[in-house]
Amino acid sequence: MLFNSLEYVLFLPLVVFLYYLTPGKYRWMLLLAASYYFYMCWKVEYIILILASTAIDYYAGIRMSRISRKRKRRPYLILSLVVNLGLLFSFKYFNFFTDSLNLAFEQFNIMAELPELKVMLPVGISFYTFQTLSYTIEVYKGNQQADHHLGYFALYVSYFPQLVAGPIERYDRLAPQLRKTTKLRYKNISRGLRLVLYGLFIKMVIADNLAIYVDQIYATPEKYMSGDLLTGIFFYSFQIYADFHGYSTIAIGTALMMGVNLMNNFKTPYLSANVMEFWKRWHISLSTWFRDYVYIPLGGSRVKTKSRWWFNIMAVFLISGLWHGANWTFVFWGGIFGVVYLIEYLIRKLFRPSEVKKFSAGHLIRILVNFLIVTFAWIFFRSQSIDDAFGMIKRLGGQSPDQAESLDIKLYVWIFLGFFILSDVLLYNKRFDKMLDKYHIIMRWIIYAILIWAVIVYAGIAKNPFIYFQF
Amino acid sequence: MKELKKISIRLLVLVLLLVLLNIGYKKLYYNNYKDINTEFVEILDKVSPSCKVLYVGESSNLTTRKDDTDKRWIHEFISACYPEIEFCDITKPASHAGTYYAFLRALPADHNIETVIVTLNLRSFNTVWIHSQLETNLQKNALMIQPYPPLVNRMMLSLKTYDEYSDEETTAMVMDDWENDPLPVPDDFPHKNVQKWDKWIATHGIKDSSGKKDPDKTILACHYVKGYAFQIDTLNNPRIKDFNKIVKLANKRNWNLVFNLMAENVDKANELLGNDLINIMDYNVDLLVDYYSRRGVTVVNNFRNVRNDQFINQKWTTEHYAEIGRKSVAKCVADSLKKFYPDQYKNRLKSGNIQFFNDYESEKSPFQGKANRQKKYAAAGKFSSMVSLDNKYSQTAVINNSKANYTSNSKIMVSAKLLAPTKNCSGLFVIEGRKNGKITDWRSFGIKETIESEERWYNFNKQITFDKKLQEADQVKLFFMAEEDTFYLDNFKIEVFTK
Repeated sequence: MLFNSLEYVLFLPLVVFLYYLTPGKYRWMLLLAASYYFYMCWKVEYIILILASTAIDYYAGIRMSRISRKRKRRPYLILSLVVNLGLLFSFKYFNFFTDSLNLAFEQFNIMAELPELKVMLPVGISFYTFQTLSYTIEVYKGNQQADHHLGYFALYVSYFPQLVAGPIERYDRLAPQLRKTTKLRYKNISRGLRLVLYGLFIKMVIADNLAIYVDQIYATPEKYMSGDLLTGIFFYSFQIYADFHGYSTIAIGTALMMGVNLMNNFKTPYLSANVMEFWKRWHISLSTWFRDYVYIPLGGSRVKTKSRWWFNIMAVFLISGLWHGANWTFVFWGGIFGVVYLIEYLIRKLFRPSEVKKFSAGHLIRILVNFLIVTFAWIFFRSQSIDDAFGMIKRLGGQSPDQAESLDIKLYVWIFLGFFILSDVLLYNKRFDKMLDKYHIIMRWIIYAILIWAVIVYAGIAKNPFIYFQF
Repeated sequence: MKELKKISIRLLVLVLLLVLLNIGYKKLYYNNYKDINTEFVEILDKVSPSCKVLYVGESSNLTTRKDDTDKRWIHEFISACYPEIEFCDITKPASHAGTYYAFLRALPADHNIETVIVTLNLRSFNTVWIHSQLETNLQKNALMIQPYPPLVNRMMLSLKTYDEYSDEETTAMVMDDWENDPLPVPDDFPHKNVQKWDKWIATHGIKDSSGKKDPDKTILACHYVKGYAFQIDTLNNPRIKDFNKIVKLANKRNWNLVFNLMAENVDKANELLGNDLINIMDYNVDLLVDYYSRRGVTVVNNFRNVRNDQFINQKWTTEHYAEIGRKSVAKCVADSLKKFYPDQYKNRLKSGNIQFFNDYESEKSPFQGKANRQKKYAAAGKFSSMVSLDNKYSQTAVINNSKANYTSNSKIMVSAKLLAPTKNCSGLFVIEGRKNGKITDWRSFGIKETIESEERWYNFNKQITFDKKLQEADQVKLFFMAEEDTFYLDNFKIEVFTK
């Protein structure tokens, strides 16, 4: 079930309505049933994966909570890691792994044909496995008490607003909120609905309209002039942001309607002045996960040699790239960020540039440069192969085709894109629902009317499920 | 309680806002067809409220052939038989029962429609059409004419409440059906499913009379198998479900309901695949006729009503007919409407047809002259006619002008199968006009262009308009004649149509 589907438009109010009708101590049952139903709308059988992951981590958590010595808890952590990462590997990376090995064998003239698994990628598997892993790791570290209530634990793993595309919530943030009996509050419903509406707007009107042009450009780049290619490349920067940010915003809004505060996943990332800041503002729940469970265990910055630290940085970015998809393009994309991160570090170290005032000319130039770097990296993220990505880059400065096609971008697409960029600037370090509180009620309703109108009349209707579902 | 009250008030305001937005959308976009996918809205708006008979169909209604002298659509031919009744149509290429239902459901209740004629296309029941890539666009347009406020319809479109599959998904679904759907064939039939049958034909090919694989015919035969080899499952086929909905709707709205079962190219199917395929087609046709007749629908069975030469597409499976084909279909439908409008019927489609046909399987013949039957070659059956220097003229069709007033709209349609044992055969087809026994007009057409290579049967087709010279003649003769080479003639057919 997609957030921008009729099913969800009916599902959400029904769940919220039943949620407030149900006595507090039984609400977990309703939410768990709703979450499983939500997930099974994609593929019924894949619920088994969530159930397996839930059961193993629940068991591992309970067992670890009964052992005081950390070392003795380790087998249960390994069990959780093996099962969760094993599922992730089997369903997401197995074919990538065998394809890469086959290719490597070919280089050495070894004729080995490793088998291919013909399975569909379970939607959201990267998100819920990371979420539940964070729980077992924290229990192992002794930072977290194990959950003895299977129902609440299962709900933590599968809570439908953030089940398939995040934010990847930590147990200590989400579970207590799920246990709390929230009363029906106008503020929660109102703010939640505002976020859902804004999320739908940026997904359906911005991302889905831009997708039409981006898909054309990336499908047949040879047909377009470099100006159109450049437009398509920039459009993708906004498409992926609007798409994923839209999903996260709807998720946050949905949860808020039931009194649950999910973490902010995006904080106007394109207004970042460097890559380090960008990763503090983009997909925050993932970058903090990698910080806590990959970067720090590797030693973080507290390592003996600089080269080791560089290794840690590169490892995090490369793994983060691979997390996004089973393709070398994603690894390359992660690598670009790693390299740029280290270059920026060296520049800071060598030249010690002075601090600039927020939104001064110097700051704006840095924002622009950072945006160009990020946009460049997206070319690899969006392309089907690294060759395709380089082909696209070459075409930007290459010869124009004899009979070039034109993108023919509709005026309203530019208008809404402008509106989105402006709203993003206005929302710098703020959240849409809270910002609206400052406006007069009439102004608020005018904004609602515009957003509703745009969502209904100007939604892009090409086939575009949320991009991050594939991860 | 206070919180609930606050929420309720806001929800009421939201509803009011939506009502206002709906009014705005309707005035600015919907009623002017200025939004995307408003094609069906426009089609529907063109249906006059005073219209009494509504014809609903796909491209078979509107497709004409270049050489048609009368390019009227099928529904216009039907309408011509009921000049006092107002007819209208809803015609959308590639549409099917689901689309028709969307249109019919959206017809305003204050329209005066009494009778609805719905196209029943056998091929639309097959998996290729069901999973066609055109379906997404049809569904998008159909969403916009749902019986809800326009803004709600538009919202459904934005929320993508239509089917959309990638090419790979579509192919997988079709292949799955071709592999698993049973065929209504005897147990000893060698091909257990469409995939296997299709593969067999592609591998073995359709042979010409010399036993060589004919690539064009092979491709066409594969199309025919994919197009017609299926068994309609009345419980699960989506078309059946949609036609059932139309029946229910017609009952509710008190409409006379006519299903116009379209003609398929049975001649071609027979030529390519013989009874194997024809039996399957017959099975499905019988099922449809029986199924809907029992539900009180007037089913007009045009299945075998159009001959091969009237099918516009000779390299594909369609229900696109030339003028005479459209007229034949229209005539049957018009006849079926007599029971609803017995006093208004005027026979405006009477053709005054004269028909000559000889497949040379028996001695009987409407043609004049010697048949010269022989068994060496036959396009169908066992016999054909030999035309050679010893028997220089084929049988002759003699048309007497004195019996009918031919006009410039009258036409002669000639079709025949021709085979030559040698290359570059030099025979002629001749039209001869006579007045008072004297030849006043003589024209010939070489058959060399038709017979591309030796030892193969080719279709000879010719359409001749009754021009001034022919009109002046009191007798017109049509025949083949040999020049130097021998050739063979089968299924010789001449039809004369008057307006």
